[in-house]
Amino acid sequence: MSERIIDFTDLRFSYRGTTFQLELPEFHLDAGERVALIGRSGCGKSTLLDLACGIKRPERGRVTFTGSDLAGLGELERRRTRLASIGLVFQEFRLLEYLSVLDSILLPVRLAGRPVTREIRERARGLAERAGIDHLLKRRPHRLSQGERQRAAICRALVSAPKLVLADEPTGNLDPDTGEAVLDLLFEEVANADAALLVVTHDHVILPRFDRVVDLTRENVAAGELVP
Amino acid sequence: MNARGGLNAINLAWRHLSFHGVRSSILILALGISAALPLVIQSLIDRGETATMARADTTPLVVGAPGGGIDLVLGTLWFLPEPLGSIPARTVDEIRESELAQALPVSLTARAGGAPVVGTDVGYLDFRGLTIAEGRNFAVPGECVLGAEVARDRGLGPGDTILTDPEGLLDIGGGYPLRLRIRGVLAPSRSPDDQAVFCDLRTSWIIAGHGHVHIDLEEVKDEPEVLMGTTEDGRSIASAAITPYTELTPERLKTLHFHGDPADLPVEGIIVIPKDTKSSTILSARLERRNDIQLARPSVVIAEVLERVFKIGALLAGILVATGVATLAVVALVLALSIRLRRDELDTLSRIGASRGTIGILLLSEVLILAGGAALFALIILGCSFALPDDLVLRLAS
Repeated sequence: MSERIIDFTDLRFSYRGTTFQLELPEFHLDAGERVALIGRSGCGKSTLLDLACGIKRPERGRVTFTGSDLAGLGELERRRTRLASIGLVFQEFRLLEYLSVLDSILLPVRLAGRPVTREIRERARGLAERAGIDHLLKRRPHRLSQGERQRAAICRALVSAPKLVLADEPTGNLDPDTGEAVLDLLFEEVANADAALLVVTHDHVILPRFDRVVDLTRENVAAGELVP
Repeated sequence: MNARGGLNAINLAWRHLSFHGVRSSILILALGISAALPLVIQSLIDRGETATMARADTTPLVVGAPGGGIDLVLGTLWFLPEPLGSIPARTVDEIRESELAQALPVSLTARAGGAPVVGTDVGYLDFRGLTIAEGRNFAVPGECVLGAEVARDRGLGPGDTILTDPEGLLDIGGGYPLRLRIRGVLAPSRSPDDQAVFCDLRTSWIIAGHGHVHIDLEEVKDEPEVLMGTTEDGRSIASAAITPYTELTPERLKTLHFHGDPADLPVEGIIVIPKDTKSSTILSARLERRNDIQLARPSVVIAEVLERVFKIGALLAGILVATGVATLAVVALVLALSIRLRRDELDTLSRIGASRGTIGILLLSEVLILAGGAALFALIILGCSFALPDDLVLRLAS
């Protein structure tokens, strides 16, 4: 039986001063599972990712990460958990302009205050090699194509061997072919790491590639168990 | 966050500043200059004051024509080019004859190659502690010794000559430039003496046209522009050609004569060195009673001048401090705007998991690195100002 990575129970979240409200009676994600999160803009997809990685805390309910109550942890502990076990991929890549590709990939390790050992460096290089950007390790982001930047961002998300990878529209800024290639990389590396993958997307073409598709605005779109 | 995390944050700060090298450099330069300028100005004023007072303090009394004491002191001690009134040379003799003080005449009527020509006597060099580095001292009219900088800047030395500057090129009735024979070069003294040409007082009078020599036409018979020809009885006829300069050769010195009593010829200043305090008091009382001369105490005069300079310096330093504060405010604004522009970057760091402490160290490190760079730059500027020689400081001040 696969390890339960993330588990939402009786979740409720809202933004003050708005009518926005996210309610999620139950949702879980197991190791090795690949789930797409869809829904109209503003329905709370990105908010759910923030809740899953502890950036936001729910008003009600539990968010359990690998058996620990993530929402119950303090700010610093949640940040440590993110650095150690959760990889984040953003639509706009969010690479730091002043870091080379290699340093960008190693950023979570450095932010965690862990030593950049030869082993970690080799892991970063290996990820870059598999992403096809190992020849670009010394380049800065402004000299990379969009696809190369997203590949670097994926390598950054994976360098700490996370148990959960959260990707917010990772192909949103890419052309279809590049998007497909980036998704291939993401799937492959997540599979290699036996991590769980939760992807927010508006691209319905890629939905068949996921184990489950959850629509936050409709009930049970495809094996989803969410109530909007 | 552990120590390595802190170091990594500092490393990130360094990389960010390095990536924006031009912007960082401009901030460092702006901050450094703003911090250094008030200190440099204050330092230069202090050093200028010390160096100026040192020369003034070693010159007990100065006598000159009635008028402004400041001009008299600045002219006699620093050879400034502003014209001074003159007093008869007999005043020098009168002071000497009193046997209360040593009197050194200072005549400042001419310049040579832009440098002041100081007509005095050999006692001046002893009084200032000036030593001859090359050659010997001036001995007869037409000879001179050069201050160290004059010699260095013009590449001149013993055996060379230097022409005095013409008073007016179109004034054919004026004094001709005199070709001075350089007999020695003074050792550097880091004082205005380095920038002057020293000669005998009589040489100054000749340059000013108060005395002259006669040229034997036999000497210039090979110079057709000077010698027009000879009469039938063998007498030479000089042409009306204007000689470009005069030179005092040993032969010509035999014909040297002054128009009038040398005691009536002018000197612009007299440096008076009383034998002791009592002599000083007596002599001062005598000289101060006279209406035809002025007695000035350089230390008092210069202290008054410096007091004014000091006030201006303090005002300037205040303005610079205000400018520095304004610069600091602008830099702070730039940094604040920079943080706003970097909101995405900082948000990314936060989302990935960087703690607030890490982000705080990152930003604080950038400020500290910029401040450190600025402080280093300010120290370099300050160090450079300390390396300036005193005489250059004085020249900058003047």
